[in-house]
Amino acid sequence: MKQKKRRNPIDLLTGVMQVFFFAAFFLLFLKDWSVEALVMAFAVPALLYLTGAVLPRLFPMDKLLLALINFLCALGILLQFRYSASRGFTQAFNYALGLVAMIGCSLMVRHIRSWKLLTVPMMLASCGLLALPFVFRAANAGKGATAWVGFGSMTMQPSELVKILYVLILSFLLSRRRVVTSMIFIGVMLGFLVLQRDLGTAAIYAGTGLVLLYAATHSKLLTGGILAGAAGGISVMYLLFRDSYFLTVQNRINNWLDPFATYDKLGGGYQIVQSLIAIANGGWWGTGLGLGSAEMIPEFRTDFIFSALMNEFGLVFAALILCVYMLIVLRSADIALRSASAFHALLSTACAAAFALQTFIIIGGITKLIPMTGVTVPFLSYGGTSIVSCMALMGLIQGTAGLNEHLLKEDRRLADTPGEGAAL
Amino acid sequence: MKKLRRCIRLIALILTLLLLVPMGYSAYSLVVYGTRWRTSEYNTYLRSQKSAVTAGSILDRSGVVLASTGEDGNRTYAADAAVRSAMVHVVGDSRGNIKNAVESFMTEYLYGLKMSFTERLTQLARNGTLRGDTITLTCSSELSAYAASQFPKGKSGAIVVMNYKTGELIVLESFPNYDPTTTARVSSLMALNHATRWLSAPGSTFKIVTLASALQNLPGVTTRTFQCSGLVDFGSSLRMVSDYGGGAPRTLSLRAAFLKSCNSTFSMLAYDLGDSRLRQTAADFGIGDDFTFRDLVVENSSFANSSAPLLGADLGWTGVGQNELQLTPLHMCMIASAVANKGVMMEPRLLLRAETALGNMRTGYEAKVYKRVLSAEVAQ
Repeated sequence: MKQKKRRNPIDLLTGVMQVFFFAAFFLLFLKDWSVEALVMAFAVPALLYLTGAVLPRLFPMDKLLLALINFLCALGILLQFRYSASRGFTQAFNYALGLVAMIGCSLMVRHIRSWKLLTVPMMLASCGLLALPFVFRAANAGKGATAWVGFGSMTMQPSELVKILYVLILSFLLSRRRVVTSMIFIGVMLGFLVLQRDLGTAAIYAGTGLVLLYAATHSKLLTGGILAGAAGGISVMYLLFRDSYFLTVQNRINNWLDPFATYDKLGGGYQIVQSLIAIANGGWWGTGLGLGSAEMIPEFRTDFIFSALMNEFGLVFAALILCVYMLIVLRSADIALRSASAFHALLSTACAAAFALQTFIIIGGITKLIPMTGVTVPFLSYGGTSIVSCMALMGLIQGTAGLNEHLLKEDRRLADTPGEGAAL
Repeated sequence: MKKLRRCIRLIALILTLLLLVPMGYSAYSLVVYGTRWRTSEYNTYLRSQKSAVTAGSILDRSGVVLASTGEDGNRTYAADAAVRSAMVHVVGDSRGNIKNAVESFMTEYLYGLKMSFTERLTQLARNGTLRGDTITLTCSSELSAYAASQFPKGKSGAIVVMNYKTGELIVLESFPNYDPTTTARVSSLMALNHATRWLSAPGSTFKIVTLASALQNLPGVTTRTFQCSGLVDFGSSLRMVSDYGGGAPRTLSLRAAFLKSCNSTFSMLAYDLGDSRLRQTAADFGIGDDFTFRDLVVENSSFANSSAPLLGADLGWTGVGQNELQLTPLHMCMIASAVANKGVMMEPRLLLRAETALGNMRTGYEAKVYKRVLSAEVAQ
């Protein structure tokens, strides 16, 4: 048995991240001599150490996945802090909430043995939650979608939280081959979202559902058929509701085709134009941290945070950040492939799909690849609901990872002949 | 489980590729549209950048100063009033009346946005201030002023002179023009660059395209003779294509018909070609393209308002350059130039070279083929 003490590559990764964030916040400190930036220059690397090194000891989880999530969250804190220190702190607090959600979800996946009893209550809960926006309308719900619920000064988007229930329910149903039930459930969920005009989220739900149906049934015919049916359904709906519902959709499409033409109109291309200008100002290498101009985009803290990133850090860096998103997807798929039960495999796949689709839809929107629909950028956008829901999704994957680890250990213990286990 | 795992692998691959697409697309749009977005009038960031740098000068191809910034920081334009007015749509003015003129569209050079960090330091050390690049244009101010003096007073229109081999624009003028030093309000008609932004039916100059299509698609067309009859009746359609000025019916060869610009001949040719072939040749000549030239913003041309096939008289009128055709004068010049250049269409350019304030060459002239539109034989 040779037990050479090698440096864990993930510790190295965390180290590099710590240097990066120290440098970034220190740079902000040098720009304004603000004490807050100096505090953050030490606090964020410390936070990365705490969450990256200490947390996995208390709760079994995948360290690489955790490190990647931490990096993106810290980047989100940096981006928020750069425009407003107090929002940076709030974002750090949101991140802490997210960590709690992640740990909670991972424990749930590890310890709940029978999901069967929970499925029906969860289905009812998701319908109830999605119906909330029709009852309580948030005061600022004028942004094209009525998907927000307000409690006093607090607002939240139920569809973000229902996403968790959605992937759990579908994974369970489909692991039991309940294809028809799950299709009905998908249909109901989509109905709610389409009525709320929350088309970005509807696309995430639809895409995730489709991915799961394909994974569970292995049928390209069924998947292709559903896609074709959906396209047909949308066309029929378009013809039926061309002058009412699809007027807003038409608006969005016009803004996408030529945002400059509708720049001055109400609900026109203003945001997209400013986003494109921010991207163009950034160019390949960016204007530099603290020197950008992304404030010109009205929603730069939330939906358009990636434009702000591309503005100050440049396209090359943004592409690397997208590589981090890709790594998260690949790692989740890896965890799905290792899992022992169909339910857990489907669950990890669903979370990865929802995560990847959300990233694609918003980044495609801000770069004018596809029509803009308001969804948040996972981990980077400002806001509690968004971070908590993304972290919870990751928690479901982490739970599966923990379970895989546990089973692996169990196997090893059962097959225990001295000396063999250490080779891994 | 085995099948499930295979599906998951495929899904992971697709999701990963999905995330690559936006980055690929934004890299592409940064290259193609970056300058257009950056120099947009809505870019407030650029305004803040400009205040730190003294703008560079703009010269014509023989070195005549078209615009420069003095010690006091004021922008002054060409000394000769005739040149000032003639060049205003190319150069632009300090108030930004002309969209996408050199003053705004080439901000990157004029305000030194392409300067490297070391270059900035060297300039600051040597001169104490930052100055943008000096731009030399392909235009000739002398010829432009002469051409402007020949243009009928009070009419609107454009003059484009292009070197068909290199794509250098020697004259690019729009009328009515104005003096950039004026403080009077500039009307939107004056501010419109008719050469690049004014879409209209090109008329008889479009017969080049119809002729090219006929030479390509109708074998034996060169030996046919045509009745230049004054009127062509397209069957059930009540509309007729008439020759300008009427006149007695004549029988002409294709060559003679082109030289006489006989409407009835070309409407017949268009009719024989049919919608799809004529449309295809038009597309070969860049009608319907999204023009993304490096130095100019040019309106895109279109063949017809819809993609439904044109029939009868509509097709006939299109063959002589009327109906729903929409082209800019610059695009027509490019079409004629392409025929002269053996079927090769060059990218129209305005920037001859840009030099840094330290006297180094930033970029030189580099002719670029926009597209091959015809075979050399047909062009002959």
